Amino acid sequence: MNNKFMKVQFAWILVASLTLISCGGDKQSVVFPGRGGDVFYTYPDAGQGGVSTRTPIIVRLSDPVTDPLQLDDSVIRLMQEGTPIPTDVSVAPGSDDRSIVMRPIEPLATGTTYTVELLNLTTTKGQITLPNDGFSFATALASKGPRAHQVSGDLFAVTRMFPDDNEFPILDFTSLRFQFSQPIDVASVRYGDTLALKDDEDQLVPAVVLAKGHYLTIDPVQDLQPGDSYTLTLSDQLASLYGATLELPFSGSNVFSFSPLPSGPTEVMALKAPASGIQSQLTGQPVNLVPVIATLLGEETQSQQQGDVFAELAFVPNYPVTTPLRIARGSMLTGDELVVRIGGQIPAGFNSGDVVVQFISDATGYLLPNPYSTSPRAPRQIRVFMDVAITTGNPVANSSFNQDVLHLELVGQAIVENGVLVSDALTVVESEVLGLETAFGVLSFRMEAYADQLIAPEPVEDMAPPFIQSWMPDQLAASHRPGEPIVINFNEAVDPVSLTDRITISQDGVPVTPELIRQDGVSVIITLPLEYGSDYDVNLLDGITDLSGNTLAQQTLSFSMPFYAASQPASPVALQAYPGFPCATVARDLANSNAGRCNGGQTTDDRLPLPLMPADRSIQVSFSQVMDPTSIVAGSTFLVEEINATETSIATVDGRLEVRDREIVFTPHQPWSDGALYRYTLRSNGSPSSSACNPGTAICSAAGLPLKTRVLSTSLGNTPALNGGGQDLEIFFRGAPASSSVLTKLSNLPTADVNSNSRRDPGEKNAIDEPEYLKNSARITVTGVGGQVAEANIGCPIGDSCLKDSYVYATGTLGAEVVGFLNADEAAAIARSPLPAEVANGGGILVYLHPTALLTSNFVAYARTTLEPLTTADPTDSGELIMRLRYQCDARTGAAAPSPAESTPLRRCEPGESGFGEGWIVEGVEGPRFLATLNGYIDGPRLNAIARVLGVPIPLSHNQRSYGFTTDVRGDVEFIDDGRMSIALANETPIVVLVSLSAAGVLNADVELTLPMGEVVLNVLSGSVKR
Amino acid sequence: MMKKIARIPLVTLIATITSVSNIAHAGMSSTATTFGILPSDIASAQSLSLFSNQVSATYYNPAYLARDTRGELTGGLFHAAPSLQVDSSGGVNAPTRSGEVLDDTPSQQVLIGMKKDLSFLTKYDHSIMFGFMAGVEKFGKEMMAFQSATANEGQFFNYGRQPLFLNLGVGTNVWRGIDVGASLRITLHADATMTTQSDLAGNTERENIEVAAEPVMVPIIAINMNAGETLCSRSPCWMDKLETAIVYKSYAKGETNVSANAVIPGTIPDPGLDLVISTISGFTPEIITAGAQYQFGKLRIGATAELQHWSRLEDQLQRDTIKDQSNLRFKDIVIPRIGIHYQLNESLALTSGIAFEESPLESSNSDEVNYLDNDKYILGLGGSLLVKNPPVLAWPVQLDFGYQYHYLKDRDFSLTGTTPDNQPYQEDVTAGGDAHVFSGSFTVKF
Repeated sequence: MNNKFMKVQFAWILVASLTLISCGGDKQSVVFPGRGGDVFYTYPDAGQGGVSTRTPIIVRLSDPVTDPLQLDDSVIRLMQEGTPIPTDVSVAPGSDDRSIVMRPIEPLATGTTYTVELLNLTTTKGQITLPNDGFSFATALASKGPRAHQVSGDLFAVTRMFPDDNEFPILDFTSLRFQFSQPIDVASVRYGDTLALKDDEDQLVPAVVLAKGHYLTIDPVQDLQPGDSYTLTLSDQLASLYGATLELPFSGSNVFSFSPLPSGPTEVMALKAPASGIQSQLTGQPVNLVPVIATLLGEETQSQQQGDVFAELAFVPNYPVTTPLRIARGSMLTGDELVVRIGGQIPAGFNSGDVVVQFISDATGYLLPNPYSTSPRAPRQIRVFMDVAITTGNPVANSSFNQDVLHLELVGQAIVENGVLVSDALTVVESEVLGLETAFGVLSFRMEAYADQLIAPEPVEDMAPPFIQSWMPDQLAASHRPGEPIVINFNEAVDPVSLTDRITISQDGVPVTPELIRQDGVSVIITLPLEYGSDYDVNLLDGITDLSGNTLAQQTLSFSMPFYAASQPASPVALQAYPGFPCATVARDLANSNAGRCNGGQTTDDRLPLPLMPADRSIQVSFSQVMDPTSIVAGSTFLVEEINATETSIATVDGRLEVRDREIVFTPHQPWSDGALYRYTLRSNGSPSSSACNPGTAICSAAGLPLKTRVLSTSLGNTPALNGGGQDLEIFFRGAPASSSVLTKLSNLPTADVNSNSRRDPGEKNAIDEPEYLKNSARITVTGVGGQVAEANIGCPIGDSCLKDSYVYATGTLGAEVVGFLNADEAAAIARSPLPAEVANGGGILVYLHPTALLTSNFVAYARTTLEPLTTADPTDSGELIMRLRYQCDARTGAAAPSPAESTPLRRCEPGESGFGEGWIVEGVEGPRFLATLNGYIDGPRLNAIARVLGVPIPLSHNQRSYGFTTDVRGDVEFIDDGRMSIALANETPIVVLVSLSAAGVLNADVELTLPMGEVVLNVLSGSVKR
Repeated sequence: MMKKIARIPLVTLIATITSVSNIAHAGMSSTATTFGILPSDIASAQSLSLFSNQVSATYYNPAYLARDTRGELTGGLFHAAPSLQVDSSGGVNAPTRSGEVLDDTPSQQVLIGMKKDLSFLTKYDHSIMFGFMAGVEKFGKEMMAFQSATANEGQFFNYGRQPLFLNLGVGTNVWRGIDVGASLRITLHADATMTTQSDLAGNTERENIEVAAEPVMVPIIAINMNAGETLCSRSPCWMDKLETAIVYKSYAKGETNVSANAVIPGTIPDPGLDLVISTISGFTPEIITAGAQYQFGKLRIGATAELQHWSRLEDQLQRDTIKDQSNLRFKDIVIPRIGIHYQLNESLALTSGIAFEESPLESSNSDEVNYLDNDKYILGLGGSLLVKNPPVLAWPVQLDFGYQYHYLKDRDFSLTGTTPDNQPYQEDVTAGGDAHVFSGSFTVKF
């Protein structure tokens, strides 16, 4: 073998071998199974508590559902203790068929646990499964209504602390939030006393303390020192609204010790909340659009929010799993103005101006791992607790809508998309409208980080000092009554720490101490026992600042309470009783929903329909005088019972009785049972002629006079004394399901009859000298005479001019229930009385008027007889006039229709008919207008006409008992700067009253009195938006 | 404004840094210990490597360099083709495996070596042999690559791409038949640091990258003895044919540390987010090899026992940020090798050897890392052709060819970790397979 051959062979073998070996075998491919479908996000979050009863349920999936048009409760359903809850199930538009939205047909129950069950939910990547086949959440407790809806237990306890220093660490920049099993009594929240955060040297840490409803926030003004020891004390002096004191909140102790972790170095991430109009991938609704859904506002009111949010992140490398963040106090979002339409349809005459949402404490949040999926595609979860003040630019709207919303919990998802951190979060914002109704709206909150943080916007520094936008009573001091608070509305939230000791009040130059000063939104509400006739100065001292430290100009707000003439003291009467009619009744037939008639009235009077009481409403009684609070005791002088049809008591109804100066509110612990009969009783002294009042056994006024429960009489001799009492006032009603209509109380204010004694007293104002008092007045003119009357005049002898004495002044309170907007067809279908033309053509907002009784002051009539000088007429004092508004139907059953002498009988009530009067709010040329037809009785029980025949006084009987009248009233609906609503109604048609007097059929005198068109002015004013 | 030209995601930067560091390695150990360096080592399954007079003695037994004072220049090619198979028995979220061969990544090296008597540099007439041996992966195209990773589907502890092999040594005779030698195996420890400012999209600015490679020299010391020369007082002596050697090789590891720091305005301020990865990119255990050979005429028979201290790797991996969670357990092993060399004639010789190599990997489960390793039988075969008078060249030329076959004994493992979709999974598998190794070299003896 030669060498050359061997070398060639060797090379060939080498190359061939390498080639062959390189071919390899059957290469293995390894394919891991996919995850199938996953849940990426839910709202509410699994295990979340405090969820709004108006919440939708959102389930966001990793992949599209297979059949988005076939979603129903066989696929996913909402359960409550094994019972399916009806919901509308759909896929959110714009969510790539990945977000399922369940909307409960009815609001959820308060304080209740619900479970979302996934039964057969399938995505393009497979079926969705969750541990336990679903997730649960719990709804929030109610902030109003029966105790059962407001408490989660008999004990007043902390139900949640956030952060808990376990799953959610406490950092140096963390605010502490507590939620309770019962609403907290804000008067018991005294920082440094009943609660305190102290450092390791036992020094109180300056902090902003916010308390409202079930929520409490403690936000240290300065960041805590990381690593230092702090103690937080919640003492047992903290109390609930139901009088319970706080149980030991921290594992058997009322002291919680902690050492905050360091947050630093922190970094501020600038995010924008865009008003891009894009649909939320979670809900399909436009992002950052806050709907405000309420009966008073309809379902179309909404505000597009936008702005920059500056989230301060703790040093992420130190908190890689649970990353804390803070949004600093003072941050704000601005929004488009709300177009305010009553019922969503009728322009209210004002818009909101810019809506501003301002953080009034440091919001505390965390970025968390996805709770449902470990998929690399799964976004992280973001949870943020925030306390915000909602304010608006327009003073009226600001007073009406501004408020604090505490513990707003955002639950969202966050992920980096295209290099930008994007967060979509949801929460349900529940806000109070006019202090009457709780509106709600689902906020699809989207935040997008600025891609280049180096050129991102900086927080805008607020350099503008705060100012007072409106206050109450301001120019309406004449309408102010004891029991109403003083409310100061600022243009922006003020720093609560700066308020401390910087508001002082003096009464007639003497400093007085308010009972309570609290904040809500941009409002400061001052409660103190106001006294008639006193001058008050509210001093806002130097040093009050906004959240940015800008100082309010020092100033004093002064007002004078109206003069109260004490010369003819009158007993208090119930001006309004809800439910029911404010009179003691007789001839009841409860089994047939007949509440009887007012005692002292005519037997032919209408029978009052037995009122139906929505399950969650409170009994409210308004009085004509300031009451003695010690005389109104639940279970004693004020008693609520469940009864049977024979009025036998079955059980006493427990509840919470709030006694205010001129009003009581009783809220039952349990909702009224549907169909059950109830009675509430206001005790009096049993004698309409006695002024004696024992506060231990009867309800008395502050002046010591008993509650007058009967104002009618069939004869002068039977007329109750001005300062007399009466039988117990018993009012009956039947429980009914909750209602979505909004109840409001409208007081006839201002009135010249400040002391409500139905007398013209020396020193009282009159409508001529002060036209302000044309409100709630009526001018009475004589338009005809007959019989032995030759001539008559009102207020002064014939021939004299006394215009100012021809007026009477009303005292009253009217209950109104706003049902909502009805179009013409709907209105025609529901109305029981003829529709005003405007409503028949364009629809309107139906407002049920709860019949009640108005009292007017007296007038004096002078007459000249045709038989003079043999027969003369003494000046006739009308005494008080009682104008009872009638129901629309008569509740009597079985008996024949009555034949009243001076009125037209009503039709019979249909089963379940409330009989309420019907009013309508329609769009007018210059704003909303209110239209109604008033059908009423006039009574002059104390009318005492005397004729003298040859000097001998002959009393004359009269026909002014249940004297029927009807008139159309109209007026503008206005909203005052302090947020209250005012309606000035005037009669569209004259009211003509033919007064017939006689004596034994021998002497007959007829006088036609006319209340001219437009000269019966009923000006009603809603109560303070905040208390 | 942040410049957009440097749109380099942070992870890419880190990957780039790590990819340029030293010691390319897919598995642990190296070419020299897994296969053999030159064809003669491969052919004898390293059983005669202690007594090889070729330049690979620089690694296996630098003392033996002194046994042949001729100079040599060697070049060669090496191709190892493993066929590493995994057979699944299923499990929780187990993957679907189609095909049998999980890994057939070849190792293809170009070899170069040289030895030379350096006595001419001294005033003495005493041979001091210097040797140099290097192997470069991918036929010389890949010097610095390695992979250290977790592997859902499993990864073999050995095989795959091999690191740069670099070895320098000397050997000399010190006394009657006793030679000593020492060499240094050179590995590199790589350190890379990067600082940058980035946004969440990975757009960077103010970048700073520093990469440093520090050579680490690992000693090898050896002694061999010709028993006849040493022990016999006269020659010939039967022990003239007996040679023994013992070699100590310190452990060697390739280590790569990557330290990155990113400040992300709006998210992570200074001092920024530290990303620190420290990994063992290659490991050769401490090895003590003892062997002997005896010459029976044209037949030479040799046997060695090699003690490999793998247990040290446990501690090393605890400091490995990639593999620290796997709780890998290793044991020390002894590898027996036996081989023969038969000189057919002056030009042609045949070599063969066998070895049994127990797997040092005790763990049958290593979470996320999922190392697979097997006991294996190694069979080598090869030959050499000496051309005393080649054309062109003035010196004799030796051509060597070696083949080695590895048979991997089936072994059961449990693979665990998380799937790419981040689901926990567990799979029972049986690992096995084989490997073919071919090597050829060209040596000029001068």
